[in-house]
Amino acid sequence: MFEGLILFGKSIASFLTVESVLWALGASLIGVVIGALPGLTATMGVALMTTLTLKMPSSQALLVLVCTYVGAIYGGSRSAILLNIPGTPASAASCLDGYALARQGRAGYAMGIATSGSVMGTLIGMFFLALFTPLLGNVALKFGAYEFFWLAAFGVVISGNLTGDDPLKGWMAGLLGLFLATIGQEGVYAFERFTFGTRDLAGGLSLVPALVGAFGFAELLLVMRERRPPVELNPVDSVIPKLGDVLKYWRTIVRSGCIGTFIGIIPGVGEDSAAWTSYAAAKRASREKELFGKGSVEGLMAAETGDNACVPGAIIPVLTLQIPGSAPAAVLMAAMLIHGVRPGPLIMVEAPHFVYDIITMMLFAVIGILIYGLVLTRFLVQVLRVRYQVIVPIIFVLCTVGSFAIASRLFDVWVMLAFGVLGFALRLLNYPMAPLVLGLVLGDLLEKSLRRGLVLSDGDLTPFFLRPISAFLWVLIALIVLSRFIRWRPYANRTV
Amino acid sequence: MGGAIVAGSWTMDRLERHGAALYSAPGLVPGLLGLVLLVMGVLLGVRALREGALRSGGAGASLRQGWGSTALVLAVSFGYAVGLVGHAPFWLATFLFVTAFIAIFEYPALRRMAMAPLYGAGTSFLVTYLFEAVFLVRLP
Repeated sequence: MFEGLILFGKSIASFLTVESVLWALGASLIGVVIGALPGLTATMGVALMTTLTLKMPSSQALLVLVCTYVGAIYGGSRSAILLNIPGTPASAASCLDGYALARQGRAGYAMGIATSGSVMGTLIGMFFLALFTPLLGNVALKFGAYEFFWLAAFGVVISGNLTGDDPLKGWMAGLLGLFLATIGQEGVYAFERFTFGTRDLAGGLSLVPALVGAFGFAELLLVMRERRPPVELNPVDSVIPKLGDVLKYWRTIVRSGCIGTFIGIIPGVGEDSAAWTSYAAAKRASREKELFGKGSVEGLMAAETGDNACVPGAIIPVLTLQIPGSAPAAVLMAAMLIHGVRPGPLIMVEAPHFVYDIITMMLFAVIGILIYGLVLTRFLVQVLRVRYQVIVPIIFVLCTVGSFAIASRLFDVWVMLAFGVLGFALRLLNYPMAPLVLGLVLGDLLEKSLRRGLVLSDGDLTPFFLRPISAFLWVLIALIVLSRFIRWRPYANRTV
Repeated sequence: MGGAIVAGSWTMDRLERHGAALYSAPGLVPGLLGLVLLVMGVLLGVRALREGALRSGGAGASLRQGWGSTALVLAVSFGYAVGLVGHAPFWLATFLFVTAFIAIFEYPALRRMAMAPLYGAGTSFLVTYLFEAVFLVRLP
């Protein structure tokens, strides 16, 4: 325990430079702005910032990305409260009570509550990140090729199951992502697959341009298709909540923080599920159930605590298993790999300080959102007034340059465009994006683990099904899939 | 698509001359993925048919809305990313794109259209400066 505290202290000391503080504050602000603008998501923000930070030292680049991630998840609450439009999907639950409070002339108060919830949620998530990463890291050391194969499959299945309205479409999006990850030279014989003689495809599809397309360009196309009318904002009162108002809901904060973190740990589920689950749990336990949806402070607090607690939660499996807990965490993981950081089961052996570096980065982000939540309300209100006809071309320029910057080749710009059109079409047809991203990120792990496992067992499939952790995972996957196909209706034939 | 992936994987070289076993063939994983995708696609198709996918007045009507602006955004964006970037100086390409985009989508608001070149010049300068001088990234 003391070793952890010492590492945390050293990490804070190493980041306490003027340059790091300025990067952290700047990135948190960018994140808040991206999150506040409806249509621009945290995943898009992290993907765009990944391309901007390529040449920076890895610690500062990751500081920027973590601050952008935390800031964007928090920023979504601004437009949820002021416009009744969630800035990011994670803030959808905040619309219910946040906007109702704004309609009652308490928009500033609602934003103060959302800031408090987000800060508390991130702090609770950070606590669990410090607590669970070493424990999960020890468990992960027992994982072999068989377990990693099922874990990758589990990530895609659970993400497909929980992130959209239709699990079948979610699984298909995940399978599509897994397939796209197989394009290019495979790992054993360097045999080129599905490249159709294109030299640029031999190395496979670059992950970051693909993600910038699927989350950047596709979202811009959707925003321009919807052509939202000019916004009408509610007046803003004081944004500083009373300490008593926050402490009054300490049970809700702790409960939502725990729920958010644990949902974050589940591969590929993400912040929006965390917010809704926390909100539902708060409503069930509340003495003021009738206020939920009509301006409940407790409801807003639960949703905001839950989604921000999910951010550190989603990073726990990234660090220990190299499996992302959410779509933005998938991009963050890709950025870690680009910057030469190798997360995975050996992280606590090879680089235990890195875990505390991530916690320090989150601490900086928390300070950033606390400052912006209290002092930049009027600026954010002005940002929400900027017309999409102006924002969209500027962001598209960033998508283009960012995609090119990864390897200085125009082919990556075309990959971005192709994934943008694909992502746009899939969204219109109600296919969720998170499983696609997870499939793209986990495709390599799934294939390598399957083929390595088969080579180790000389083609014998039994270790995949009989080793204890593997058996647990495949049974879980089977139950998830079967539960969607078999409707258990024990009372169907009874008459009332 | 699932069928095409299965067919492509099945006809893929199995590298038996290099001593590769069936379970390490390059087409194994994409083939399995294609097969599952094919099965799910069939299930989705059957379910859609049962729910009346071929009846008139389905989801197609809502999907057709907004295609004009989408096509215009695609045309302008592809014109920039494929036609201009890499073929013209980056600052000029960016200036032309941002200006044209804002002017097209602000039409017929003349005052806002008149602001388009200012936004174009500002974006072109800031992005070029930020990427080259601050983030040290090469521009196309």
